[in-house]
Formats: sequence, C-alpha cells, structure tokens
Amino acid sequence: MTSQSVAERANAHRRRMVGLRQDLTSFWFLLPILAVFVILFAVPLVQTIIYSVTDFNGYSLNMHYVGWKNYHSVFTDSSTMQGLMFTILYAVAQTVLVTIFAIPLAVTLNRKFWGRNFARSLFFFFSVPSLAIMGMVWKYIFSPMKSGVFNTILGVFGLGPVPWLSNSTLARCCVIFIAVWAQIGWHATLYLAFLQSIPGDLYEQATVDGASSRQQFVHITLPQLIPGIVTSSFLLMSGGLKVYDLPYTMTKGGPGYSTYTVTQSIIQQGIGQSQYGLGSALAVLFTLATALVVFAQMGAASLISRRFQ
Amino acid sequence: MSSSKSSTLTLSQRERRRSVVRSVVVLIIALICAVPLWYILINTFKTIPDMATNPLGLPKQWTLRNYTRAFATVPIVRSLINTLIVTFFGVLFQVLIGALAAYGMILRKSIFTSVIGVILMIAFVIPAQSTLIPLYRMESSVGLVNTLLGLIVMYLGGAVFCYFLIVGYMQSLPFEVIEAARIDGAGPLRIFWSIVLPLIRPILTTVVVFQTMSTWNDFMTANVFISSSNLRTIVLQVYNAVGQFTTDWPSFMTITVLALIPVFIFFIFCQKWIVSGLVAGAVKG
Amino acid sequence: MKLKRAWKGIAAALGVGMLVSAMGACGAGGGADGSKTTLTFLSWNNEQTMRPYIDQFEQQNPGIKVDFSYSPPTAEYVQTLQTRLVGNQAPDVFVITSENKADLIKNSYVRDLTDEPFMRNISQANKDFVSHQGKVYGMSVSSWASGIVYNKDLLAKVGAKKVPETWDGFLQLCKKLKAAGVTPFLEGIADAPSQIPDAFLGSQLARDKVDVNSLIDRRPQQPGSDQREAVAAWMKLYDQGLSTRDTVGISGDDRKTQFINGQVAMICTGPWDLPSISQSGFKWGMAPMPLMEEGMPNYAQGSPSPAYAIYSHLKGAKLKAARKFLTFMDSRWALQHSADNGDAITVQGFKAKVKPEYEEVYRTSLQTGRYFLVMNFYAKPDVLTTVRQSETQQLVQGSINVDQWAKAIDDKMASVK
Repeated sequence: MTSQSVAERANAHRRRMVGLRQDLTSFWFLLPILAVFVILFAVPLVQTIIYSVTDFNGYSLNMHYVGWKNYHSVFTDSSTMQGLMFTILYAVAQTVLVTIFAIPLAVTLNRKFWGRNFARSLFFFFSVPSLAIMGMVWKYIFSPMKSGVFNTILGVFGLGPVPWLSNSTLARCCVIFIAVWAQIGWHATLYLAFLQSIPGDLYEQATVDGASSRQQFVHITLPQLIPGIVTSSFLLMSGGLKVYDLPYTMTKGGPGYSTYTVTQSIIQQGIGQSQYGLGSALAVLFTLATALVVFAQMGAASLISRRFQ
Repeated sequence: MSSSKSSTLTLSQRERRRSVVRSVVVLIIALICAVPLWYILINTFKTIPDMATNPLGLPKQWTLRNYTRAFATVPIVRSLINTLIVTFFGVLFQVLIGALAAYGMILRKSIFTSVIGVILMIAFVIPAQSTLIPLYRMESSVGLVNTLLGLIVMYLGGAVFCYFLIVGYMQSLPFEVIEAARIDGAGPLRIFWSIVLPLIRPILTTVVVFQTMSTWNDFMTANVFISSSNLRTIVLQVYNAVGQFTTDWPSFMTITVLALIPVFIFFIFCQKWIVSGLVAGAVKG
Repeated sequence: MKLKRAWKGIAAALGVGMLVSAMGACGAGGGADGSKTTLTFLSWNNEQTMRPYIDQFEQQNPGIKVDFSYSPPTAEYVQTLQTRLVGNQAPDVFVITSENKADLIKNSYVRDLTDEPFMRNISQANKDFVSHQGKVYGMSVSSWASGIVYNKDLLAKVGAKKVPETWDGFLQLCKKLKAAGVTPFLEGIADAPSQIPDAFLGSQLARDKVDVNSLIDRRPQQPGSDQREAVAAWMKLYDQGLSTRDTVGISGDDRKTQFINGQVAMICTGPWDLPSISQSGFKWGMAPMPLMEEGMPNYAQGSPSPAYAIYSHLKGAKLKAARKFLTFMDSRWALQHSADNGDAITVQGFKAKVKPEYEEVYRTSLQTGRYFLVMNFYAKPDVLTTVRQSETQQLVQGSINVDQWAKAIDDKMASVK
C-alpha cells in the first residue's frame, strides 16, 4: 500500500518534472521573440503612454505632466471621430472582401491549368510595389477627369465621366477597392499554403463517394481552411485598422474628411502639429480599441473553429 | 453549366476543358488587374511630355534615358547592396525567431504559453507611427542609429508577424510525427530542424517572400533611421525624385522598377518552393 | 526565477547586439579621418540637386567634408528632422520652412543668424519669413510666386490675347471659353488648396494697410474670417459653373498634365511646372494673378524659399564650417547656379535672370515683395494647412457655404493653443 503510494507519488513527481522541463524548453524557444517584443513593442508603448499624459511637443524633452487633458481633447476633436468612421469601414470592408475573393482565387490557383505559375506570380506581385507609388498610379486611373483611364473606358460605351475621387462615397469605395486589389494576391498565396496542408486523400475519398466539386469545397476545403481564415482575417483586420499609406497617398484623407483615418490623425496632431502628447493619447486609446476588436474577432474565430473540429 | 453535354465527355476531357476555361478566365482577370504595373513599367521608357500625352500606350519613341540617368546620378549598386544586407539578415532573423517561437508555443500548451500568445498579439495593434520617436531615441542611446545593423534590429519586429503566421499553420500539422520523434529520443532542437522545419515549408516560403518584400520596400523606418547617403537603401533613392511641388514621375518609376527587379526574380525563384510544398503535403498525408 | 532568466537572456541578447553594432558602425564608418571636419547636412532637395554645390564647396574648403542626407518634402522631411533633433542626432545644417519654423525657433534648435555677415545682403521679405521677435534664424536666398499660365492658341479661339487683369474680367473670359467648348480653367485641390485666395488676401491686406507681420500676434487667430472675402470672390468660379467641382479629386500634377495636353486653357501654378510646360510644344505665357477688384494692388501667391539654418548647439570647428557653408550658399557661384536651375534669386545686389515667360511675374511680384502665402503669416501653420484643405474641399463640393467654412477654420484654430 505504502509502496504503491510512493510509486504514485514518484510518478506524479516525475510527470511534474517532465512538465517543468518541457515548460523550460518551450520557454527557451520563446525567449528571442519575447526579447524582440519587449524592446521593439512593450518599451515604446510604455513610452507612448508616458508621453500621453504630458505636454510633450515632439521637440523639447522638457515636458510636464498634464493628467488626462490629452485624453479629454481626443474626444472633442471632430476630425478624429470622422477618421474613426472611415477607419472602421475600411477595416471591415477589406477583411470581408479580401476573404471572399482570396479563397476562390487560391482554390483556382491550386488547380492545374496552363499559365498557373505566371498567374500566381502576377496576383502576388500586385502587393509588391509600395502603396505610395501604387496610390499615385491609381489616382491617375480613377481621375474624375474625362481623360482618366476608367472614364476613358466608360466613354467608349457612351457612359459619362464618373466623379471617382471627387465624390465622397465613391472616393471611399475606390480606396477600399485598391486595398482589396493590392492584398488579394498575397492572401491567396497565404491560403495556397494552407490548402497544401489538406491531405489529398480526403478529396480522393470524396470523389469516390461522388461528391461534386462544390460539395467538396463546402465540406472539405472550407473547414480545413479555418486556421487560414483566422490568420488571414486577423491580419486584415489589424492591418486595416492601422491603415495609413494608401488613403494618404491617394486622397490625403479627402475630399473633406471622407477618407481620413485615425493614424493620419495621430501623425497630423503628433508630428505635423507638434502635439506629441495628444497624438500619443490618441495612439494609446486607438491601441486599446484595436486590441478589443481584434481579440473579440479572435475569440469568435476560435469558437467557430472549435465547432468544426 | 452545360452539364448534359459535359456528361457525355470522359472525365479527363472534362478536366482538360475546365483547365482551358480556367486558364482563359484567370489570365484575363490577372492581366486586367496588372494594368497599374504596366503603367509603371511602360512609362519608364518615355519622356515627361510623352508620358503626359500618352500615359498608357507604347512610347512614341522608346528611350532609355531614364535608366541611364538613374544609373549616372543615383548610386544604385551601392543602395542595392545596402538593401540586400538589411533584407537578408532582417528576414533571416525574423523568420528564425518567429519559427522558434511558434515551435515553442505548440511544444507545450500551458497557461504560461497562452498568456505569451495573447501578449504577443499586442504587437499587431500598436500603430507603428506612434512609436517611432521612442524607438529612435532608444537606438540613438546605444549608437545604433544610422547603421545598417540598427535598421536590421528595427526590422526584427516582423518576427511577431512571422510567428503568428507560422503558429497558425502549425496548428494544422499532425502532432503524431513530433511525438514519435520525441519517443525516439530526439532533442527538441533536432526535432525542430529535421522534422518541423521541413513540414512547415509552404508557410515558411510564404512568410519569407512576404517579409522580404516588405523589408525591401520599407520607406518609413529607413527614411528616419538612415541619414548617411552611403547607407541609403534603394527605396530611399526612389524618393529622390520627389520634390516640394512637383515630382519627376518617369525617374520615380524608373528607380521603382530597378528596385523591384530583384524582388521579382526572388519571387519567381521561390515559386518553385511553394509548388514543391504540394509534394510535402502529399507525403505527410 | 523565469523572470530573472528572461532578463539575463535579454541582457545577453543586448550584449550581442551591441557587439555586432560596433562592427556595423565600423563598416558604416563614414571615412572620418581626424584632420577633416565633417558637416552633416539634412536637405529636402535631393542629392542630384545639391551635389554640385557640395562638390564645389568641398573643393573650396578642403578641410571640410559634407555628410549629405535627404528626406523628401514636406511631411517626411519635418518628421525626419524632428526625430533626429529629439533623438540627439541633430544635423549641423538643415532646412527651416513654414511648417517647422515655429517649433524650431520656440525650442531653440536653430542658431540666431541676425548679425552674421552672410545675412547682410538677404532681402527683408526673406528675413521676415524666418524671423521671430526681431531675430533671424535662417538664410533664404530665393522666392517663388505663382501666376496664371495660359495656352495662347486656346485663348485665341475666343479672340483673347492675354489674361485679363481683374477677377471679373477673368471670369468673363472663362465664360467665353466655356461657350466655345474649351475647358477654361482648372485647379487641383486634392493635394493643396487653391492659390487664388492667398493672392486675393495679400492684396486685400495691402489695400487695408495691414502689416502682414502683425497677423501672427492677433488674438484670437481668425484666418477663416480674414479670408472670407477672398474665398467668396474665388468661389464665383464654381458658383457660376465655370469650373468643374471635380477639382477636389484632381491633384496638382493632374492639372499640369491636362494643361500640357492642351485640354485646358489656363491653370494657376508656380515656376516649378514651367520646365515641363516648356517641353509641351504649344505657345504659352504666364500672367500675374488677376486683381480681386479693380484698383487693388497686385499680389501673387508666393513665398520665400525654405531657408538654411544652423543647429543651435554647434561649437568650434563645426560651427565655423557651418558658417562657411552658408556663406558659400550665398556666394556668387552658388546663387548663379541656383538661378540657372530656375530659382528666382532675391538677394540684394544680385542680378538674376529668369525664364522669359516668368519675367513679368518676377517683376511685378517678387522684386516688389508683393507676394503672400496664408500659412506664412498665421500661428500654427500646420494646423491651418490641414483644416483649410479639408474645409475647402467641402466648400467646393458644395456641402458647406463660405460662412461655415470660415467658422470651421476659426473654431479649429481656437481649439489648439
């Protein structure tokens, strides 16, 4: 009896030790990334939080504590609120649209056809040039003038010039369209990688069972792609909320405030208008809000993926 | 669509026909979408007035002047070497750190690792623009500002991105293989090198390609952290054509093209690896 | 315990980092041989533009090496300079301009140049541009002014030989051109506000004998109300349907392209667009801005060019080198070189030649000092620029009227101190 309990205890002890050792090994593997995180993210974030309660102007380090004043000012600025509106619209729209288009594209690019590698490269390559230059090119294509590329094409069919970038709603649509264009290829590439981890025999079995390709897509591909969808939509959402380059180079936030973003507001107030404290307060609030949205999204995603597994 | 007709065809014929349809549809869409890239490329062979009057068509008279001028006035080779150095080391360490972390994460699921997992996500929600001054001051205090190494260190932030992609992919891997290796007495590092890395090759390729591209293209960090002209990266040279009121678009696009050629070659090269990931997947299944 | 290890790990990682950084620094070492003074210079003109000056300067001063760096204007430059200043990596010589002058002066980053010998021949308007409380903080040697560039062939279609002198005459001409099926006038207000209200306000202030340098001390700052009249006059262009409201989606480059392609009769622009317009192959001219009303003094939208500033904490050999560099930039050789590049030199005692088409604007505006830029004369020009741009686009879109426009701007200015 006693010997048995001793053996049990020794066993439990060994298990604990093994557990501890595994903890330790996993910790060593995680160490480099923790260092990166602390140095490049955590410390600067703490700095930003400190700046956000001061009157730091971005030039003189002689700053004073001002309490919640900056946070208060954030909420009284109407342009920031308008920026928030477009930022949310942009992030949600690009997440939904890219996901809807990238998955079928990846599935198609995963099938055999002539010119597949060329098509894969081309789609992927849309996201390669920096958005600063692509914004310029698209600005020309979407020019509201009759000579703009789209308007020239429409003109051929006798359709009148469309005020692409000078109409607030259309300008928003154009920016989102370009975001989808630029990212679809890269997210399709990402899905392509995930498609390749789906065991081929699942499809073989399904084909033998007489499942149509649509049925295969719904019952095999989609459920197997869920980790990919979680990854991709997380990147799209967090990246979309932080968007800066594209609307800025396309429209500078205009016409009016229709494509103004929160990050543009952070930059304009913090650096352009030398109210770094205020910009930091906005950045802190925005980080919190983004974290909230993204974690909610992750939570929902893990619920869904559990249902499928 | 025409199911009654296709039913009379054999399976392989149907497959072949579908493949042709796919080729045509996908390639047409791809080419239409590629118009902006064409715009950049074709205008590098034009003069400014030619580009103004005829932005999309072929040049009235082909000129290589934009290229010769770019090579004559901009130290392109030097900048390419700088970019090559920061991109190579930056991406190497990013991916390595990210892959190690992802492995460490799935190696053992505990409260500790899941807390770290959540904390790392914070890196995704911090707007980069707001941490530029703190980071600059940090690098400045250890003398890393205006060095290529300092730039590489800044790029290591991408490791969190790599980690996230890789860990997402690893969740779809069969753990039995790792377990089996562990029972066989292989150490965790050996399992990582000889089992995990080959298994995650498709995602590694994707991550490497993507990080190479974004590191190669980075303007914001390099513009702030590099001040000496002999350390400038190629993307900084692209912006040499930007003026206060007016921008020399043909030179802007010429240097853009020159800057993109290496990435393009790199991608074509990596294509093979992504495709070969297919084989890895089949073996594993 | 884990934490302790973590810190040890981080410390080790940092140690390795520093070691490699030392190597990196060696590799990067910018040839600092002890005898030479290295002068760091941050410019917003690119290397191609600045290289001839630097080569000539280094040739004249063998003991000095210029370490040139560049950041594109304007936002990127302002951000780069700011980050370097606050990160203790200040360049020795850099560019001071409308967007950053107030901050640079207030936080004493720029050296007082008032009594420097090289400032003696700088003209007053250029000095005023970077002055605060009677002290001058930068050296600006040239200025620019915009005018109406017109396509002679298109104007001839309605029998016009030149651009009318008054705004009403200008609008009349636009009407005739429009009736003849020609797009009369195009602005690009997607990336910058219209130039015309600036010229109108300058002229209006001169008529009312307001000292423009006193505007910045006015409290409260009401640039919206101050511009109300000028903007209302300018808006006739849109209210009378003489220009498409799509200009809110058109950039300055678009506008130039349209003009070069002969699709628009007149645009308003400055000297920077003239070289590419010259290559267009049709006959064109450049006229001074129309007068808001008959009898008012003629003013152009214009400004002194960005100035060179010296970092305030420079001492000894570096300061000497910086002084030499500014002296050089004010020397006959450098001024001549700038003039050859198309800059309108405004230094006293220097006879400058400009493009023949630019001659009239140069004479009526630049030589007389009659040019005005709203953002140069109000407090918080950076805030003003952004809010004015967004509100102006809404005004042109027709979603607000001039009074709402003025109020929105004044409210915004009141909200930042």
